[in-house]
Amino acid sequence: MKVLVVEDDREAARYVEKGLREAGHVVDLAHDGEIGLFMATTESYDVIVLDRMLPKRDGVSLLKAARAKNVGTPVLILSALSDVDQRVEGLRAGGDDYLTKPYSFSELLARVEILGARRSQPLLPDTVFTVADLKLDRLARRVTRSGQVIDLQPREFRLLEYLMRHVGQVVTRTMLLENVWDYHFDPQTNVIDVHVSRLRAKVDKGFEEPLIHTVRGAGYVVRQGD
Amino acid sequence: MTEQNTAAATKPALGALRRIAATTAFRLSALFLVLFSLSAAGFVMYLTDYATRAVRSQLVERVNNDAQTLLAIYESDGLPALIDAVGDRSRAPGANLYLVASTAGDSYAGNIILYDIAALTRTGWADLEYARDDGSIVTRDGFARTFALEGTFRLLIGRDLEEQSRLRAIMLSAGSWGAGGVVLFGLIAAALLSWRVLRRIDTLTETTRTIMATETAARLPTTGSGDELDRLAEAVNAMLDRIGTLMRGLEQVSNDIAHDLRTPLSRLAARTEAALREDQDPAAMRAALEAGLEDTRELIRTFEALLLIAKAEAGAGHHTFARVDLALIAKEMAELYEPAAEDVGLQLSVRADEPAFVHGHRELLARVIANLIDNGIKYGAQGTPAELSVVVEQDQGSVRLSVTDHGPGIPQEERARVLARFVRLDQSRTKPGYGLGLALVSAIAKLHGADLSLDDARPGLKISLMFKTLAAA
Repeated sequence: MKVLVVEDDREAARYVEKGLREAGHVVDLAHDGEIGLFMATTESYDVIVLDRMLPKRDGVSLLKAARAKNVGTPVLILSALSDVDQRVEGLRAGGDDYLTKPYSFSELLARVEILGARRSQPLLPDTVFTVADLKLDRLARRVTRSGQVIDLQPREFRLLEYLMRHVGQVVTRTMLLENVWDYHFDPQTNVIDVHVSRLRAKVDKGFEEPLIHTVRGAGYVVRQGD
Repeated sequence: MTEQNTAAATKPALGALRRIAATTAFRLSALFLVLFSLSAAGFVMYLTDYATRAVRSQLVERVNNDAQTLLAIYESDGLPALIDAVGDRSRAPGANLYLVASTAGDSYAGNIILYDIAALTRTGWADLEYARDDGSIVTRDGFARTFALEGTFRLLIGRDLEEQSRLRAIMLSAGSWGAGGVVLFGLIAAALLSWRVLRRIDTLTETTRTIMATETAARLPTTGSGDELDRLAEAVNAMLDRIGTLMRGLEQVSNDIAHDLRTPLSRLAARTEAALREDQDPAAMRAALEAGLEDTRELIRTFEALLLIAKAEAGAGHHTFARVDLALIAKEMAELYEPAAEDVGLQLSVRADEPAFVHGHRELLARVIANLIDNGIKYGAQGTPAELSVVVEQDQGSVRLSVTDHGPGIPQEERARVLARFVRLDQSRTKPGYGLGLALVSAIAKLHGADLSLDDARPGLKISLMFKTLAAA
């Protein structure tokens, strides 16, 4: 995956670059808004990581200009402004996701990978997700494993749907709260973990191969094999 | 006193006068005084002129009446009779001026001597200068009417103008003195008024300076009269109170930050230092790093909570308020926390059947409910019964949100303290968390204009928030 990181703090940018490279991505760096805009409009990227406060041209302005030039690349906005309202403003300007500084790298990586994968996904959303012998039918609202029906609560269904939609990709607890519950705060306690372990008890218990995995220090992933 | 001393003594006095003269009150008064003086002068002039004319017309009438009588005598009895009559009248006290003379200036009867006999050559009214026919040489002003008699004889009847000019002089002087007095009085009043206003403003200025310099608790004095300066002082005092509250808030935030961030920061520093110092195996190093990372995350969470409290208390986010269903948020939060509650053996129940619309911020309200439930889970887990209930109900124009646990509760006298930032009751020191939960709830409640109350759930704690209902749209 080819990622453009527009961040004026050179040390932070290098640290993000290093992390993304280790995760197997190609990274370009831009240290101000003008260069960032130039690179975003002339090169093709899978994801742009965009700091909100930049010299020469701020992140939101860069984003608007890029979108006006038909740059459809998914954009993850980084900001020290943690307000929910700031977040709404960033998304309205054309951002696809919003991450508040300070963030953990695992959170950033998970979000970048989800955003990058979104590009390669078919335009029409799948109605049936399948991972190994686990099958989720969105229209019939039915989950089966090895043909055996698993009875899920509506929220558990949406949780599993989100995990399966991003099969093989790490999703963080915050991402689950944002996408499954539509709330944007740090729940602070283990509320999400308990939901996942309940889901796991229904989906994985009694089957030989576990499909919902915990990624230490990051979140969860649904995948086949270990 | 030396010259310098005198100069030094007069300088402040001059300065004070100058300051009085510079006040708006004084300037306005002075302007009005000038206008008033001009109109008063005009009025005095008019009055004088009017009175003079009135007196003159009265004199004219008297002269005419007299002339009529004398001419009647002349008509019926001839010149000698007229001369006799004029002679008699001339000697009466307070008599008119009389003269029967020829145009050549020969006088036959009367009580005046003319300086200029031209008055005799023409008939009708004329002003004249004369002297009394009693040997006096004092020149007097008068006016008289001349009638032509037979031949070159003339009858002149007139009146002294002394009286009239005296009246005029008296009126002018009285008017001037009066107007002058009024102006003087006005000036003094203006100076006094300005001085009074100036003195109060000086007090206000002085107090303001003191407040700026040191004494932030000082307030502007009011006289209790409710005048415009009092109202200004009250408004400024209210503003000072508000600033004081904000400043105390800021101070509190700084103290809180110092208090709650310093401890984990020192812990983090110590942990990192120890890991570096000791020759440890990679696994122990890794453990130290992980613990350090967890500390950092905790610090970030604390920091964010502090920021959010500060923002909520400053009223930020209010402009994005919208119509939100508190019942729905409560249900979603209860659903989010239900498994976590069950994990610690707590039955979490929610009763929020009717939609309850309030004017608010969905995310902030969700955090409030999340914090309350989180708190309930922490302290209500060992309660009897092990139940935690979330209720949203409508009650006469308000929406009540309450979260009740049956844990140890909070003693009456400590409830207010609990709402303050960071205060955690001693028995809870061992529980995880950072004491910001209820402070955040309190700040967000305040932002929403909701009343927060803590009650005894016998046993346990019931935390309620009363919101104003928003009429269904």
